[in-house]
Amino acid sequence: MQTATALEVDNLTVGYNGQPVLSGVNLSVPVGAKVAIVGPNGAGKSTLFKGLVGLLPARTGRVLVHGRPVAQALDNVAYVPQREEVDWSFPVTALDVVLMGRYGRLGWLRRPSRQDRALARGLLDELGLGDLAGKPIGDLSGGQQQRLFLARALAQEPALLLMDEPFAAVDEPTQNAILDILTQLTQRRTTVLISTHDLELAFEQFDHLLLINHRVVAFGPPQTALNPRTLADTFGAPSFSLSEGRLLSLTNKCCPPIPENKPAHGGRQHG
Amino acid sequence: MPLGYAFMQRGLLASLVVGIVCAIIGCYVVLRGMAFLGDALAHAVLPGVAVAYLWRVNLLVGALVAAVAVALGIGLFSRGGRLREDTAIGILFAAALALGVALMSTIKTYSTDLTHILFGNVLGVSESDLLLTAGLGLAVLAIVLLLYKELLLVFFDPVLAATTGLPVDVLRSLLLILLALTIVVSLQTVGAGLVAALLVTPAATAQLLTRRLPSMMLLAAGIGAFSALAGLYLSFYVDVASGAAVVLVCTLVFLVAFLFAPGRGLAWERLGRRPQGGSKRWTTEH
Repeated sequence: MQTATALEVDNLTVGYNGQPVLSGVNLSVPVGAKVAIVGPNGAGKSTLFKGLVGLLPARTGRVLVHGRPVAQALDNVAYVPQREEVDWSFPVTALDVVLMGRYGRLGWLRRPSRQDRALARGLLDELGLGDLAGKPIGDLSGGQQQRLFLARALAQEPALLLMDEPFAAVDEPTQNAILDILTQLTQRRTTVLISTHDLELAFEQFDHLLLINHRVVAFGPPQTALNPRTLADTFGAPSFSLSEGRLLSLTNKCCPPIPENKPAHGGRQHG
Repeated sequence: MPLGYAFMQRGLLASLVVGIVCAIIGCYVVLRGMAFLGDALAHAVLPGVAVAYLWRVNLLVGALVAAVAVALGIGLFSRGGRLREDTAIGILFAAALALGVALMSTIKTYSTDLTHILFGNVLGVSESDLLLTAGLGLAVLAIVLLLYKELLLVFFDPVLAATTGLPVDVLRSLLLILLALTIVVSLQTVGAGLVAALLVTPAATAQLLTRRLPSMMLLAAGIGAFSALAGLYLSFYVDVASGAAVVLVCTLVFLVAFLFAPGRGLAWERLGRRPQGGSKRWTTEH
């Protein structure tokens, strides 16, 4: 039971218009793992997510979620794409959006019940959006929008949660709120995969790292996955050091070093 | 009292149905930027009408077949990103219109019939026309209501729709077919030339005044119905073409909303007094 596999990927190749972006991905993610996917721009992080949920067809290989082909396991998978992929001027409220997370479980023709509404409101409260339930989504700030989409993903009650760049351009409180929720989820044996540009965050806050650069470079606990060779294979020239298990400096191409004198609020935003 | 005439009663009922159905389907048209598609489909019915005329079958049936064929053709041409959708629309729209005009020009009574199809003939609505209009209109409304949740998801967030296993392409095609049906139903009241206004204007007006899709749809329907009534009365008393009168009333309502919509109207903007959070929908950062 401890070694049960949440996500099994066999020789997966995905890409656009005949060009493979990611090739030969093999992966076995244990139940309850908290995985950060890291790689330079264009390495295939978003492509991997789209391949995992079937938005891009697999040219080779297959994806199993809790032992079932992903197409038959979509009820158990929640995928949160990057924020830019949504039309924020659409006339729906925050509560409407969270309720959409229930649609998959409702099936055709059925309306959300009182329980569905109660669950959605509870999730909005949990993410500090309770007062905004009736607001149009266009009125929400970037951080609030990201939390809203996490609330919707949670409304899907997934066994596997995939989030593409949840920490991009969000404020510190939002980042911490998301990290807290992810930790709670994995404690309840939900499996979580997120992508991020922030290697330091990935190293410190996640129990597994997946380094990709058009292929899987390394996968495992941060201490074993990260070493000078895997870093070089992922990001090019090795430009930071590991010492006694601590990531010391980080000046790789994808993420410029954090300016020292940035106002507190900027904290960890880049990318 | 114009309602004393049976033809006026029929015309009024048909206009009401058309005003409401167009406005509700129009909400999807406006939200997804499909105004061009609506106009294209309206003109694409012409060859169908001409063929139906030549073969002596019901003109509405011919129109419906042509509109559905063009709607599905656009989907086929633009699938998989081979052509941009507006390019596919431009090609098929002009081709269908040309084919329609070519076929029509072989008919002797060509000019009156063409005028009726282009601009409507609301006072010529027969009892069977009215039944057909009402039946199709109700069918369209029923489907939109029953599949509200599914259509909302497909149009707001196709990614979530696809990852919850909804047949996104089927639902999109379904909406195109509903749009084609709506247009065909509207031919007799406002005609192919003006139906785009009934699709777009009430929905766009309602969008300025509401913040949720259900209230947008209700208000659009109200505006559509009001414009149909007011336009028809106006055409009776002032003696102008009825389809044009309906569209002009719609446009007037839109202009009022555009100027004075609370928080979002042009006048409001001039006053520089926007309610908190009023219109910062395009800002992305916190």
